[in-house]
Amino acid sequence: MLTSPRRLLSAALALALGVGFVAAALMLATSLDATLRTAAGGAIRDAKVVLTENGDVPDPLALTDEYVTRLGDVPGVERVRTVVTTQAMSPAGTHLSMFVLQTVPELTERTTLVTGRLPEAPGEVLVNQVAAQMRGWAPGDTVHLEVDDTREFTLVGVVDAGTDTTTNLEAPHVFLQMPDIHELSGRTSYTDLYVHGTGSEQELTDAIRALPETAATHARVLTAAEASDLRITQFTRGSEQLTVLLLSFGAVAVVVAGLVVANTFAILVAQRTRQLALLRTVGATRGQVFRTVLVEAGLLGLASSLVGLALGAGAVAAIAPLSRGSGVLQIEGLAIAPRDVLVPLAVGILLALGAAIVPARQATRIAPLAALRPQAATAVDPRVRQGHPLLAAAITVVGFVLLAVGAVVLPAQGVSPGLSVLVGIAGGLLSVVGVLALGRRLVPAVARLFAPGMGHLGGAPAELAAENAVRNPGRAAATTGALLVGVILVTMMTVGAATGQASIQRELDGQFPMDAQVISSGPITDAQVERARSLPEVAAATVLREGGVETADDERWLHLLGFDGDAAATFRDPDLLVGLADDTLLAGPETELADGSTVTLAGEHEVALRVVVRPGLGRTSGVTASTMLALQPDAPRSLGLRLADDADPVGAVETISAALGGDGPTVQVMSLADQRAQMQEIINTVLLVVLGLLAVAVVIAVVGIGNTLGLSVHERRQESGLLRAMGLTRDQLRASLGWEAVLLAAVAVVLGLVLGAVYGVAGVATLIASDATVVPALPWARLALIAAVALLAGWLASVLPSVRASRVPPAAALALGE
Amino acid sequence: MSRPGAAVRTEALTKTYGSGETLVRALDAVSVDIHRGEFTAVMGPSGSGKSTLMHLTAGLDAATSGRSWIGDVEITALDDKALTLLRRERVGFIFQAFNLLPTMDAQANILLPLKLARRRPDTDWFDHVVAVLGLGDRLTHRPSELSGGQQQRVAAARALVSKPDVVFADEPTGALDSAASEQMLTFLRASVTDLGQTIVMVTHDANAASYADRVLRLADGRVDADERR
Repeated sequence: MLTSPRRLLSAALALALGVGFVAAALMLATSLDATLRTAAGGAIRDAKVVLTENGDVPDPLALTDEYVTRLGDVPGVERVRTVVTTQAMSPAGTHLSMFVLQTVPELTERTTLVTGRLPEAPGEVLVNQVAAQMRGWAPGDTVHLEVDDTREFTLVGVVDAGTDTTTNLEAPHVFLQMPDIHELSGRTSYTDLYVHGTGSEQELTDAIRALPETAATHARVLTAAEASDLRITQFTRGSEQLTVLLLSFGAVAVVVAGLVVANTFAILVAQRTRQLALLRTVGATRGQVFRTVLVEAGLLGLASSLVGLALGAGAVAAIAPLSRGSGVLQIEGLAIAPRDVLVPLAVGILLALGAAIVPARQATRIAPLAALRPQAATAVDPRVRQGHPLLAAAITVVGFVLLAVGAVVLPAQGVSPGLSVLVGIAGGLLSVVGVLALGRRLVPAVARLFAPGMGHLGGAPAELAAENAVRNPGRAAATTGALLVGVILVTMMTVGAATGQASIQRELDGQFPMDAQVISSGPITDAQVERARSLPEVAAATVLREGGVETADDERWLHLLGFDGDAAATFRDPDLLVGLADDTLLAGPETELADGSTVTLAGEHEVALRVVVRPGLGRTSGVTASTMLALQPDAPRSLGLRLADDADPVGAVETISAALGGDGPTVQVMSLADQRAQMQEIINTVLLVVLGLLAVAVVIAVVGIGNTLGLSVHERRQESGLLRAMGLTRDQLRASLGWEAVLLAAVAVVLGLVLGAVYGVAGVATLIASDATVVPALPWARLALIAAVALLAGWLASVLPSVRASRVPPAAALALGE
Repeated sequence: MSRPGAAVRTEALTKTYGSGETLVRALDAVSVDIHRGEFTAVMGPSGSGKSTLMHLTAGLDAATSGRSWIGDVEITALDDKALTLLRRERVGFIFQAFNLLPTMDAQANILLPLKLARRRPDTDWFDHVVAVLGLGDRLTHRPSELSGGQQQRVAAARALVSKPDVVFADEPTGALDSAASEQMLTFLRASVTDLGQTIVMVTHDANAASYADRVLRLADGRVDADERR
């Protein structure tokens, strides 16, 4: 085996890739966990208790100075670190953008001063690097911040704010001293309190919870451990599933590798028939032959697994710097647990041994006499064992049923996504195994569908190819299998990303039912409304009155929008406002108001309204403009917009803010366009990385096709000679082998695209929350590209074998056993 | 260049393998004419060069030196593509074994050369050849479902159906029992006598050679005897 380096290389590559995938998934999980722990623990540092403001509670009741003083009296409390995190707008030209305002951080290992100094005097501020880059700020510059009115501050330093300062590393931050923040924001309370002290976390927490004033603040009181865990779960909501997803890719990559390795070993054994037979004639027992093959496989497995580990570690290390920009998956560096090394190693070696067992057993069946016979008569059929077709069909059906359960039934029952993902993955894997096992029947059947068309396109060589491709169904299935899995994975990722994106989009559309909203520093003028309507980017515009009102009985705060009669046209979903009347309240599900109930709102007047729940409204509620004015006569006017379908959302926002900024009050266009563009970018980056990895899987599969074709060419030597004698030209012989490879690739492409699309949509369905809708999306251009690349790759795989085949003169090819 | 009546002609045709001390002369400057409408047998012991002569004159292998014609075309001057097209259009083959493609039925095998040449088969001629060879009820069978004799008859039908200038038969009866051999040789003889087909048959069997008009005996890569009967 070690004497056929080229074939061996393909098996080793396949193994290394599969192992690398598993290793990368595990190491990514470890690295993520390590990163999240430092991040979550970072801000808490050595605090024992963390209090967090409840945003719905009016300021005077919240975490005030008075309360902080009261905390200081609790036995065991030594120090209370106060933090305010809020937001302000900062104008640049006619635009406003949002900045995070926070109290000046303590400098640590993770939070370091880049340039300048910390604020000392009132009116001095520090910004993080994100803000400095965004605005091109340097120490000495003036920073305008606007909450109710605009104030000027002097920038004195730029800080590299780490995870112990903020959980939102990508946002632009301005750090101010506490009095400045209070003055600017008009608030007198803190958003977070970190309590340092003596005694256990639990005792201290209990003592704080027992304070009568604590209940009145409505603040969340957590031990440092609880707060840390909570933040980790907030962070990891996506990343745990990502690890599971990656691990399942790893599992599939291992299956592909197994197919290619088994096929390669079978070919190697077939080519060594004479050598193995000779061993038998000189006295090697069957057991010795078996062990020889297995030991070689084990060594190959070990070597490839080591390469795979290095690949996996390298991939994670490479992802680390790229991950900074993504919200879901941020890792600071590579972290490796022992499990991350042992599991992939074991997988790789067992896989190599497992793939070698069937060929090794075939090797033991080689009779010593084979050494004396001409070579062609004893070629071992290198097919992967397929099992019983009924069993395979049963596995396939069970797999798809499980997939449907994971994708549709379980999410509808509202079980945790973790469970539905596991069931879905189990179903997906089972169905892939089933389809592969059905390959002996499925692959020739699909190939025969293409044969007539191919004969039409390519003439006699293509017709020959169609016959040859399926004459050994087992080999055709094994060859196609590897590429099939590759195409499935790539398609699944592509369709999954598109579907996920479309589904999240739908979700966002629901939460923010309008494309864009224009808010202004003063009352928006009618001229501005008319100007907005006249823009080609704007399809519809309506005046909104926005405010907040409490319910009369339980003082629940509701975010309210008052709609004019023309509002429906500004919604993507025009039915959203059906049923809106002066005596109704359209409520989103997150308001937790019951459909059909009556609620009394206490504004300027008390108004009783009938509740109609509209899922698309999220946490917003809607009333008519007249109801709104009755509740809150001074409710600020804003402008709701629907963008034209052909408008570029990011560009449209720029245009609109420029057009409306000219006259009347300063405006800010709030749109999801940026968020969407950012989401698109994240998805594209992740997709690119994963597709890059998967591309290697396809390359491996193609090497497998080349291997198999090489063996077929070897076996069909005489046949090729005969065809050449009959008048098949060299070009036609090459074309025929090319068509054969392309046909096999086409089968893999068709099956792979269909299955991959199903898995992609189902995968999103298992991951997505139960109340969200899955919007299947098929990115046709990308799918066409996948098909083209796979077909081209299949053809490329045929180049070497076909050139070798066509070089043999017909007379030599025809010679029997000489 | 070619004398009238010569279907195949060679001039000092030579094929050597290896070099230096291991040089083997498989064919040593052989010059012969094969006449149109004649049944020529090429005989000789193993290693005499009879198969090499056939491979070179049929354009299946390249000569080391010398020249060779089929009709008035000098095949030693053709590139591989032109040579292949020439074989397709003007040469028929019957080999000792492995004559047929296992994936095709008898009819598809018979029509293969025409299909490769994209020529429309002459239906009357096809029916005639099939009828004479007694293959009418075997056309839909695959080679694995045919006896050795039937397989050789399918090969013969394939060689004749394109009405080639010359048919090369390489030990066509080598793998057949005596009854099937007799049948095959009788058919070859008849196609020469009745249809004027030119046939070159390589054989080591004196009985097979006795059906021929002319017997070329080769030894050590040279023509040893040229007998006409």
